[in-house]
Amino acid sequence: MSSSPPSTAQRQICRYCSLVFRGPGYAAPDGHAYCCYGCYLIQRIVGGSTESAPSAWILARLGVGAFLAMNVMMVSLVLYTVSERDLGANTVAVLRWLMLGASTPAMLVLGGPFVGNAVREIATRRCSTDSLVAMGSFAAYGVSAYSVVSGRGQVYFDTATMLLTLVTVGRFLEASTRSRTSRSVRELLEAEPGGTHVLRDGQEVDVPAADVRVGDLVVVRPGERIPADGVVTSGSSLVEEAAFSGEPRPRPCSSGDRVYGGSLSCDGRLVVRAEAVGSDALLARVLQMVDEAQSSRAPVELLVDRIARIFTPAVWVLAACSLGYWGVVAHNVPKGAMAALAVLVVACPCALGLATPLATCLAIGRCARAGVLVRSGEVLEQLPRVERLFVDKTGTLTRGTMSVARIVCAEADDEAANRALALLATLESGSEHAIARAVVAEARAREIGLGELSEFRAVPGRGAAGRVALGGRSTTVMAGSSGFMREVGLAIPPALAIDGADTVTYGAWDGMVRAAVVLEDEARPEARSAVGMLAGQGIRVAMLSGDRRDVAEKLARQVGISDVRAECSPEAKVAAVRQAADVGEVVAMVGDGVNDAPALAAAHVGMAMAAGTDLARQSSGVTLLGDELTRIPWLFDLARATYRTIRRNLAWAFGYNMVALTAACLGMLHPLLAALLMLFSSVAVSGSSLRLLHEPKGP
Amino acid sequence: MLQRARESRTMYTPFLVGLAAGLAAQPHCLGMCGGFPVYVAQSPRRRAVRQALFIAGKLFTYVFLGGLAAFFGSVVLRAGVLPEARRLLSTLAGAAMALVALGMIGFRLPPVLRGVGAALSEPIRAVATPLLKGGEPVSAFGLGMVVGFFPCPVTAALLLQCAAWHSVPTGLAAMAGMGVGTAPVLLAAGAFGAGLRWPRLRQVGLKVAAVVVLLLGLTTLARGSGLLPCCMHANHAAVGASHSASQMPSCCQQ
Repeated sequence: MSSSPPSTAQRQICRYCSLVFRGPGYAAPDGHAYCCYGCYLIQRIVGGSTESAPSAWILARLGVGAFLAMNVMMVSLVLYTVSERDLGANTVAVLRWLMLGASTPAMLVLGGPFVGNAVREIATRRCSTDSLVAMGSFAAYGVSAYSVVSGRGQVYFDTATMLLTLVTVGRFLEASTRSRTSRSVRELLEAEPGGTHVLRDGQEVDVPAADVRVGDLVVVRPGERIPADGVVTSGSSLVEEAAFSGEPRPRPCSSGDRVYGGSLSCDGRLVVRAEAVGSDALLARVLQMVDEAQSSRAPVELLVDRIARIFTPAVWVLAACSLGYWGVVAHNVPKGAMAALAVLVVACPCALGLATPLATCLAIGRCARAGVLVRSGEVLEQLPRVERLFVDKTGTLTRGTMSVARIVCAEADDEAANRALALLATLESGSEHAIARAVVAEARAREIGLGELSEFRAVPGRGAAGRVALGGRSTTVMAGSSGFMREVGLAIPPALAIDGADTVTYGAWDGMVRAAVVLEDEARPEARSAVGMLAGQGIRVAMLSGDRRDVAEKLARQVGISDVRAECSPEAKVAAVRQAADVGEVVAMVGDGVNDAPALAAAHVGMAMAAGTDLARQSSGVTLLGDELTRIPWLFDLARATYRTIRRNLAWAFGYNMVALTAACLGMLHPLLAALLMLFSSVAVSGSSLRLLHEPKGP
Repeated sequence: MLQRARESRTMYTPFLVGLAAGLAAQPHCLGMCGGFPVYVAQSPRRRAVRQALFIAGKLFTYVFLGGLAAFFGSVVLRAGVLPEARRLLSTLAGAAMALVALGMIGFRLPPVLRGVGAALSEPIRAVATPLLKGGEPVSAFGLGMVVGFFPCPVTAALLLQCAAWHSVPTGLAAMAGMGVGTAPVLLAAGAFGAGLRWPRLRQVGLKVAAVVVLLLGLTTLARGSGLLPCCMHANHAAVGASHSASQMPSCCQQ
């Protein structure tokens, strides 16, 4: 492992808390990347996967340092409150020498890492808190040591040693908080299996999970994790996908079902044909997305960064001004030194630096655990502002698993219905749409053989066309809505006119519309409560559907939506989104299909259902891995709570710095109190952010 | 010389007050911190040393906190921010003790108090967790030091009293007494798992302790409100020479 200091722009992951950070962080002697000294300390103490034994040396060092500092403090308190006359001059001198004796090892033990890091910071022409702390504490120690040796002057050993103790404890606590931030991501990583069994020449061979290749037949025993995305070829089992979908109930899986790497086979033996491994598997992509989201920077964070860049040099100037005023104007150099030190310590921008990223990372991590992938901090910042939510119907408000209710043919006989189904199923086998899947499933259920499909062409939101070879005959087949049939110049015969609020797809071949397939799709059971919760949050919900008006309105009534836009082409969906955005509304869109992708991309926040198409997911800022719709209002709640937390954190950090800096400049703040306040400030910001681990409840 | 002898004699009073509070709080202490000495004593190697170091670490933190509280009390008094600060702190200490006693008896304390306790415990827990993993005796001392910082209501009440006394040596002595007073039950817990094995005995002990703490609290409350004279009267008279009249607590100003 290279120990050279990384460039400031380089993105790194802290070895202990897994936080993504830029800049050198703490240049640890072990060569690993740590975001701060606290993380290095805890990693050394509790160890990681490679170091399980606690480091007694680090513990002893910390304990001895704190013990000595507390002793120095107690002696100082006695000297502060009991007069020299009462104690006697000799006793005072002895106590001062004792403090020097106790402070020296304490400074070496506690100050060493700060000095080392300060030297590295100066070498890379950066200057952060470590150099301020090192300079401040060693200056206080130097002045005090000189006073003891010379026999006159004030001593500040308590300030020097307790400052280092408090800062070290503060770093420790910050690191501990951040490790909880990344816990959710670590839980996802734990879903990655270590080893697995592959069928080679009919024999089970144990291999590392990383060695599984596409096409391998993988044996998954009860209680084992599935090592790759694939399709079950034999066996049946309940499969738990909670690790990345947030869905706690296991799903029954058997031959033909798709399963994902990282899922747990609960009670049965499965043989899975691997289709996506390594970085192509869903779990790896989820982790990649969470990693990218946590390292992305929300606009408010960029603003805070810009302020922080000005903040540090401004603090240096302020400290110099305090020293100058008290030393030169007020002729009180010791007070000037204390005021300058207090300014440097109290203005530690820890709270400011933690205010936004901690809350954002916690929220994104919690989303990931709930099966909601948020692509960036910017998306999270947009969510609380959403005023209107457009929802697609099929596959979003409904289960998306349509089933064929009946087939109506121009010729009224069973053979005609089966032949129509064979032609349409062959054509629809080229499509991913929910209607297409239902038609193909019906053909399979009736054990009707499919033909060969060529020249397939999908018309998003309308239908599909292609050449189907079946029973030695090849013909052009089209399937789609009535509007699509009209567009291609085909009239629907009166015998095929379907009344009522059902979904219908028409089939045409040999130049005529010859069949109508009537489909049913149930609303998701939680759709109504989800819509109600969104309305309760003040979000106006509207339905965008490519389906007929009567079908769309029937479902809208079921789920409680009054604003229905039916028979929408993908262009019409985009237009609806843009129209709302043009009047100043912040718009979100939830959808799943190819036809929703443009609208998802056009909305301020696009939300894709994971069961939908890749294009829909790629066009969205949010992906819902499970199919529980109540996670949408929960996500809005969480985003609002995150935004409130960020605002509260920033208000606290700025307010605290303003008040504390003013008090420090005026010489009203002792450096020790400043260190305590700094610690309290960081803990307050961390504690405020940690509430996001539990609030809002659910999903 | 004579004055110093008188001072050291008067140091017994705060020590005894702390000792009484510590002894009375033992059942409470067993419930709150009893698990730590049991954990420390699990290792068969140098078990006694580890236990003694744990107690010493806790006592050290108590003494440190006592000095700190008394120092802040003296700062408040010297600054003249609150002329009646001593009485106010005594009243607060008494009220806190009474609340603790009511909690020990079984009354539900206000949620805000429990919330504050939980919030303060969180950072201490974060520091204590890695120390629990340390197998060396020095870890037991460190653990004792950290456990001493746990937001115990009895400790908080006595610290308020130390602040009211506003004398660092007095604060050190009082909290040393408290540390010594709570030591027997922790040693017993480590050695025999006492109390942890006999929950019935612990419950009875807790009730008895609650009555003692309640009496201590009511007495302190009465002193704070001026109904009873200050228990540190003798101490104030002894050190009175180093205080100006305005710096003396109100009870000793006449």
